[in-house]
Amino acid sequence: MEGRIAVMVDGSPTAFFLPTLFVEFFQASEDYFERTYTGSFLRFLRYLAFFLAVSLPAIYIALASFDPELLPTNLVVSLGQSRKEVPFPVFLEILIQIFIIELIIEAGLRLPGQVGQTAGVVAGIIMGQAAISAKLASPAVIIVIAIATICTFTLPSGPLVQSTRILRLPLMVITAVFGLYGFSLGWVFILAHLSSLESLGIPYFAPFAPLRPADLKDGFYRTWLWKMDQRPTSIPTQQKRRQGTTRYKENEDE
Amino acid sequence: MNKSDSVSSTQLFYIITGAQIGIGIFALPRLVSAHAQQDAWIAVLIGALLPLLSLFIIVNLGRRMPGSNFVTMNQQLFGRWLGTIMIFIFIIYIIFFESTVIRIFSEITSIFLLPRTPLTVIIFTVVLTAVYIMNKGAQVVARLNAIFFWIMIPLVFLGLSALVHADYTNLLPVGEANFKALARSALSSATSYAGIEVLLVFYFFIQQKERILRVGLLSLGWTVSMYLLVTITCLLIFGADFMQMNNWPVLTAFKTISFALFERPEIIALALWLVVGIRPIMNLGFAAVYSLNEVLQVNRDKYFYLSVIAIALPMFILALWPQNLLIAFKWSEYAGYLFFLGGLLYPLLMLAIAVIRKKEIDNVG
Repeated sequence: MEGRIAVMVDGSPTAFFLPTLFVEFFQASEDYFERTYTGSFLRFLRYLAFFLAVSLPAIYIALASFDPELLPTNLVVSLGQSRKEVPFPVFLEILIQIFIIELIIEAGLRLPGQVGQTAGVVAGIIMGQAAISAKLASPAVIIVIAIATICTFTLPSGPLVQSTRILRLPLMVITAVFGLYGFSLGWVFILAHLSSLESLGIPYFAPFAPLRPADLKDGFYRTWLWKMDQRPTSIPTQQKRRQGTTRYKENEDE
Repeated sequence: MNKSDSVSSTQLFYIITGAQIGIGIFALPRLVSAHAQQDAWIAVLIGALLPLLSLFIIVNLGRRMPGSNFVTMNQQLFGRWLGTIMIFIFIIYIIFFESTVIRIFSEITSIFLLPRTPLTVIIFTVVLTAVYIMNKGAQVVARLNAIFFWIMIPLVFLGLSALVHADYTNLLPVGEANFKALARSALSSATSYAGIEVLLVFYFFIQQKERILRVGLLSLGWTVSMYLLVTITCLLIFGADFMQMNNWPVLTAFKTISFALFERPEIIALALWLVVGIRPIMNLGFAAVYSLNEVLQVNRDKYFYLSVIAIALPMFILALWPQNLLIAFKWSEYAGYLFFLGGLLYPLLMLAIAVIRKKEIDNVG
């Protein structure tokens, strides 16, 4: 537990840790069961998934509406062909599809058991195809939304999934208004907000925001277990060494 | 000192480099090679002597007056009324300087990214972002500087790939420029090191004062390296003559980069565009806001945002004032000359008075 406080409330099925750091939402226990390269790969994947889940619709809007010249030429041509049949502007198109996908997800949650999962999959496929045939969306938009949604489901913690689903909407709006510049504007606001949050006095964005290189070893990647013998410096504890056995390096005989 | 204002000495590195490397870097190769031609990189090195001197003066000044922030420093050295006037002059200098930065940044955004958007709107978004960040305190400003610094590093490496078009003969013959040409170019390059005076205000926030000089030298070293890199790269690619025809040679060079798999890497630069320009605005802006807040003794927790708006509003209005890009460039040139006053003469004056009045200050402190 690395010196944190656990809060368990009688009657609630969940427990949580204090103080919370942003990186903790990307740490899942299976990272530590594998070797470091597998664990680090999974970590990278999650950060990439988070970034894509929040930004991909916005990037698509920016590129399709504002700056098509930044895409490879062949892609622009095929995008243009599919887009010209859709009567809506890109932003509206994406908004409708996101709305439909969110409805499918929520409906899948409410329907009981197997029906829910099947309905989700089938509805996704059929609605996507039907939307393309009805010229309500272009295939590229369906792909973008599908990738973004799958990326949200890669994230290991529930609150992060909810935040991502909500966060992508304002980013889309500001990108629809200002293009790629709006994209950077949105991300600066997000980073500024994240850097200013504090959990129990500890900076929330801790290994990244007040840059703590010692803690980065469990941030973007997961170092070798024999190197993880200190508790995170971001969390104030009296004991610096981790409890429990930490493995020794392979070369050391002891 | 408010808890939300303590800054570590490592963060000072990011703050100083952030305050100096802003949008000035884009026009730098053109300005410096105007007189020195292919010896522009020598002028960049010579120009770095000015912020170096400034750094030593400010650190020495801070050592002589431990425990006093920028406002009390002025009031002790100049007396209450003259000190307050000097603070206001400093604040007005920062407002003017940053409004030129905002204006040129918005012009570049308008030309390359959003040609049909009114300039007022773009300037408003920049000022809004700066207001949002400055409102949160020195710690958040410092943290953001660190994040933005590391975000920009991949861009630097990406920019280096433009060197495939390099022609090393563009740098030859070395040493052809005479002393007068070098001096004029060094003057231009010295103006782009503006931002070191942010240390005047941030000195107080840092806990480990003995590391400040070392960190200051490192950050200055980084700035010089960046400027040198950019100047030499542009010289290699374009050559000194052609560069004069290009307003922002660095941007043009970046646009030429193209890989087989990734045709337009400039999209990454554009997606991070605000990060490039917002740093000097939020650093120096925060210095001005904090000084205003302390001088007027405003309640930090409740009414800080009023000081922020009081600084941001003149910046916004001044940024709108120039009618076109040429006048904005002229303003930016004047702001650069003002840096000699605000960044060098002003700390020098304070240091001189601190030395002369050493006995009195020791008795007071």
